[in-house]
Amino acid sequence: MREKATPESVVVAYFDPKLVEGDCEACQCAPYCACEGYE
Amino acid sequence: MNRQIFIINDDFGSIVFAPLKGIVLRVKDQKKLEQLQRLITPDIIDWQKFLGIFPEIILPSKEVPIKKFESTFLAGTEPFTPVSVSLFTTFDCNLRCIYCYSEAGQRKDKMSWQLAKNAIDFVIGNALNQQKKAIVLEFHGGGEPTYNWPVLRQAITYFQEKVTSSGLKPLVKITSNGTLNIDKLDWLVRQINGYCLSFDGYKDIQDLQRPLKKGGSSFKRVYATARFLSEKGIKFIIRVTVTRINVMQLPQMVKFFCENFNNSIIDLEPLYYCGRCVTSSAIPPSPDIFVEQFMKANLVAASYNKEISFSGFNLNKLRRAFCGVTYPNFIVLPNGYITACTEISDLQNPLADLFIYGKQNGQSFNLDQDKIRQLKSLGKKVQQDCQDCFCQYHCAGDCLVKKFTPQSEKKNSIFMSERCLIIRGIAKETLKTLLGERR
Repeated sequence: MREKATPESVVVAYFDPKLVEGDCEACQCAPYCACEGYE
Repeated sequence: MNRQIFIINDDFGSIVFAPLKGIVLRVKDQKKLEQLQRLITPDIIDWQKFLGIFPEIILPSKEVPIKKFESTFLAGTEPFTPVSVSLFTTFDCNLRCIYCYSEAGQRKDKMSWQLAKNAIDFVIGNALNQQKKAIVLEFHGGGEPTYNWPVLRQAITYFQEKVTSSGLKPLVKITSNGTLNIDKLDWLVRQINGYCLSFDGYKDIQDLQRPLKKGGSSFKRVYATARFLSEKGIKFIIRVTVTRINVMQLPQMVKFFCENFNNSIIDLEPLYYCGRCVTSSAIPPSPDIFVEQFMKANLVAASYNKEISFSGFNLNKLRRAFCGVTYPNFIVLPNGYITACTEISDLQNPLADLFIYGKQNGQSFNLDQDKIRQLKSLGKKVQQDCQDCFCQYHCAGDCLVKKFTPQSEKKNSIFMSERCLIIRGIAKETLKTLLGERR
């Protein structure tokens, strides 16, 4: 995890984006589902 | 145009958002912003120059490559052969929810066992041909899936036996109104991998928005279901439909769910005006109030070490399609028709011609490959329409059905709907929270 840097004029924050891929992408419940994939 | 860095202006200055790299900045220095504007004018950004403007940034060692969004992921196999199935076992229902998109109960059709079996056999055959490892059988409505209990039970049993003996992994999911009696529920939860419970809050709201078909309270039964799942340690989703009636109570409602149902994941979805809304008093919440209450509810959930969700935006989850509609989904209706979307199940629906793409033919199914190609191209079109929007990687153009209704209107090249306002609102507030600007 990256550290926050906070100089006067700029505040930085980070997050950890992950792409939904594979069969979950083709699933009708993908927007609501909390499963972590199934293959 | 650059699709890797977005500048979002608000009352406090500008937020610089790099969704694929996982970076968000609050910038108040106008000079730096002007430098950045010049840098992001071309398509490809020079990240070393970006670091020159913001030396305090640590670029991630891993990122989501932009080429993943430019690939032909929608192409799929040709011709399309589904490898998972969703069954609408019935259009009938024992509730009369005031906003039901399907107006469940108006149509009484029930799926026959033979149709369910044909659909299961069809996807198992396809999955074996495509060397898949797992197959999903899902139950949804339409109506309440457990209201056709004999077919639901037989379908699950048959699916599990046949998939397992084929060397594949069976996965069963259901979205239910939670009114099934506890004995049947006990059997059901032993068979399934995912349970989504439609539940709108405490008693007065649940009973107002989701009454029994003859009127009267559904709360006691649904509460009992949620308690049963919770006590059994089963992880389940509580899907709350948020209307103008309950939007102001979201924080208290989330508190109620957190305190009563340990293993629940709380999903808050704003009502979309459709179906029975036309004849009932159900009105969607205004976007700004939904956003404000969602963020307050999120704080409540955080105090219980939980998160709430909304289908349009999850900061860490990037998508190339909102759901499987453009793949498309293989949703079998009780009358044998195939739709790509749970919300389009009536041939009279103005969008039926777009989304209903097949029909049972004997023991197999005829799928209209031209319509399938059209659905796939719609996904691409939405991507193009949204290419200026900073939420494009998160909502992936949002729900197509909601896009293609008269309630949407095109503004400034972004296909903007009320849901877009909500998605962008929640996105902005989430970024502010990450920057430590919200408490």
